[in-house]
Amino acid sequence: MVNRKSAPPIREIGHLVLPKPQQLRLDNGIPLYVLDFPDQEIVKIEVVFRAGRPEESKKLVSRATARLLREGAGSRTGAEIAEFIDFYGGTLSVPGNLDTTNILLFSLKKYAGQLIPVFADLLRDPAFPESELETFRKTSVQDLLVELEKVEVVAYRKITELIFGTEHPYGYNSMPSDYAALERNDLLAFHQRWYIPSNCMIFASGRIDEEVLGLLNRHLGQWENKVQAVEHRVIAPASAPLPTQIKIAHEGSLQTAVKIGRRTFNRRHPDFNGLFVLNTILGGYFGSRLMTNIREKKGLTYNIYSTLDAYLHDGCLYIATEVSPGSAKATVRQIFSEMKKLREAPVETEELDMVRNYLLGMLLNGIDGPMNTSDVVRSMVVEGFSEQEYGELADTIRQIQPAQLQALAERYLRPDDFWVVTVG
Amino acid sequence: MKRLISLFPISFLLLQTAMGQNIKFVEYDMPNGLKVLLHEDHTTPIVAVSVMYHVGSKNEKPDRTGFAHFFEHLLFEGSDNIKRGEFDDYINNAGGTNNANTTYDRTFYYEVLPSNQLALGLWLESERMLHARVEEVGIETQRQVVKEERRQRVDNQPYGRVLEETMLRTFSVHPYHHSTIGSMEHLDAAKEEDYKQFYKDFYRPDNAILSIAGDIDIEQTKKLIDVYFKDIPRGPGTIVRKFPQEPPLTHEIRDTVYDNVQLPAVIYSYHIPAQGSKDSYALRMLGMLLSQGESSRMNKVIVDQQQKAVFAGAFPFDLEDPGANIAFAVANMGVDAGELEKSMDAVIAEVQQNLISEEEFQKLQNQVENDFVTANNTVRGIAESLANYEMYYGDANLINTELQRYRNVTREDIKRVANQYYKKNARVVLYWLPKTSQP
Repeated sequence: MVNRKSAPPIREIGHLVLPKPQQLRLDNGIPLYVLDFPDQEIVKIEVVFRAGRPEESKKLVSRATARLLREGAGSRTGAEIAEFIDFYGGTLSVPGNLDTTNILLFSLKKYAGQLIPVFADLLRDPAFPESELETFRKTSVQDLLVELEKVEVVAYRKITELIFGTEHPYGYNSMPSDYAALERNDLLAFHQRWYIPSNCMIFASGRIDEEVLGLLNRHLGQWENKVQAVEHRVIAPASAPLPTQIKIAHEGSLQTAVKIGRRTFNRRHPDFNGLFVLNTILGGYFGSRLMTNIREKKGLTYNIYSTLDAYLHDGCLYIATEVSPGSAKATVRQIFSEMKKLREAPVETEELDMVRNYLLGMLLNGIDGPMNTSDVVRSMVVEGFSEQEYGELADTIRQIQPAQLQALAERYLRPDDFWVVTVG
Repeated sequence: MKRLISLFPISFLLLQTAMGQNIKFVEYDMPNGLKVLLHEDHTTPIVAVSVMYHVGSKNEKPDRTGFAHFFEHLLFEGSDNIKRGEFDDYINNAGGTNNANTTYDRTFYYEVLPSNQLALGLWLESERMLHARVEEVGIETQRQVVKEERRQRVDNQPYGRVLEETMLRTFSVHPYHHSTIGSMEHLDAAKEEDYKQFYKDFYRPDNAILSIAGDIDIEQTKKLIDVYFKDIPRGPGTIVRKFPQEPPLTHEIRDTVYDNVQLPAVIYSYHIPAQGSKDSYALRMLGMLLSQGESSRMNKVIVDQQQKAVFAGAFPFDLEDPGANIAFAVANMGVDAGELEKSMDAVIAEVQQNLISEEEFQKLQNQVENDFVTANNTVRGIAESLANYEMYYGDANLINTELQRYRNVTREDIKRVANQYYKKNARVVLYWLPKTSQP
């Protein structure tokens, strides 16, 4: 007879086994990282250029360049490219990213021979037609109008502006006037300077056999490297005025979006891994302090979380939630009170053990399936971490002590350092 | 090509995978009616443990809507042996994640755990099935949470109520006419007894599928399942699944909703047959023709060429009972809803009048194939797909064979279903307009 009264014993999470990509170079030197899954019938090619906001000479140029690659290249118009890719059941995507431009191609293995040459064309030889740029300007402004109806969007824009500054690559927000100011020459110049082999890496996963490798080398490996050295701008720190509380009205809103945030640092900072654990305790998982108090005990919100965003050059920590307008003040008070508890009392062993296990489990979940696995490899390589450094995060998760977490809370969770934004 | 010096000095396991087109699984029924599906894959040392209950918002009484989704919240509150709030603690402690989702037709609960925690996942799910905690304190808190969820995800989102308002007008007697999140008044009015009864009625082994995928040993897993689930009794009687049959739409229903939006939108809704029927595959391909990819017809014509919309698409909303096909377009600045409607009608008329070309048909085949092999990329996805196919079609093996059903669709079928179901005189037309334009 089963003993239902007590849970089956919880076991230690074993050794984390990270996937090892095969590393090659194309003839022109572009590094290629390969995760071959022989049973797959699909191919995923992700090309990464370090061509993000820090490399921009004008606002939004990085995004516009990436978005318009598909709107005409080589001998094909944008409509022809779309038709061609759709015909073979492929998909092309350009996920938003502040530090890099990532361009992804998904293809059935059997059509890689058709799609990779066209994919290479639009990376190497985009046309940036004036008419497509005009459409991009218009639709971006329309999309912006829809987005600005959402209180959480307005709040996010405001808090990042406050944290980094309205002119900073990580702080500025798209405005209609920025779209209007974009010119074709800006895109051409950005492409010419940053979309080059020496500023590029490629991640290939799925069924990557000799045929696919040959295709990549033929179409991207013979790409002449015009500019050899690439210098990336070092970002000046944002100015740091004294944080305050900002309240923005939003007509007709049924909820108030709350964002509370501060500037932090990138992953290379010695406190990053520890703060990552502390942030998890505060609001980084379903059992977090904020979730338990504000959702599960008080029922004030559907979701509340805190997040530690790390970019290549900087970072920020912010707490976000949406609540009834009448509960906004109480919610802000509760958030600060949870920070205070972390400053004033060490985390109990039981809770810390739970967070350790949760986070180690997350790392394990990150390698579920070929697509997730290639994302893990890509982020390691792009941020320049070796496997050993990557392992340090797991070490911190296993070893950090309550006193160290409390010291981090005293340093990084002081109310005076946080901006408070409420919208609606 | 030249080899790189390895950045990863320690040698790791080279990943092998057993995914692709042949997903093997084991299937059996337990004496208490619980259906079990097991898929073994040792790629990553994790396991997805899931239970799908055949209860969704269509099983709710008209004056108690939102129950199935509410249970998605309530059933994390604990059980006879799990104290309130501890359900998640067990999973976090084990390094797992968990969640649930509810549709019109079914509810799905899952945990993804390190594979040495399989027993824990089974214990938690068996506790949830046998004697979950359904009591006032949890009910009251979750009521508040669900109200905020509704505000955040539905009421306070631009176009967030589109589906709800569309289904309300598309169905008059079938319970698809109310949304899964349901009415907050109904949740308020319900008593503890109502909730307890709903739990008794639907959360039982003979109304559930236990689907497990990942790093497991089949024989050992079967033994463990026996330990935790064998003694859960079958529910009383059989569950009645008779829903009022929706009469066909006989005319166009036209209406306007004013909302906090900047750009007008136009929505169409048509009745379509149940998922799995022959025509449902032709309708899915018609939906792809109109909306999948940059070169799809609605996007190419209405968004790119005419620049009348920022978004335009048409999608079959597949349901267990006959469902709805919804078309949705958001106008560009300065374009009014009437003008947008004309463009949408013209694109639809084109596919009704002319057979699509062989080339476009080949494109649809390629897209179907790509979607099919890209799905089921994670163990959680496999567990859910197997359970879905088993619950709706009684054939989990469709995870491997459904592609053939699409291959049976012809060009003529696509033209025919466009005429048969996209009827101007049997549809709902909804204008979604900015409040500022309200007369």
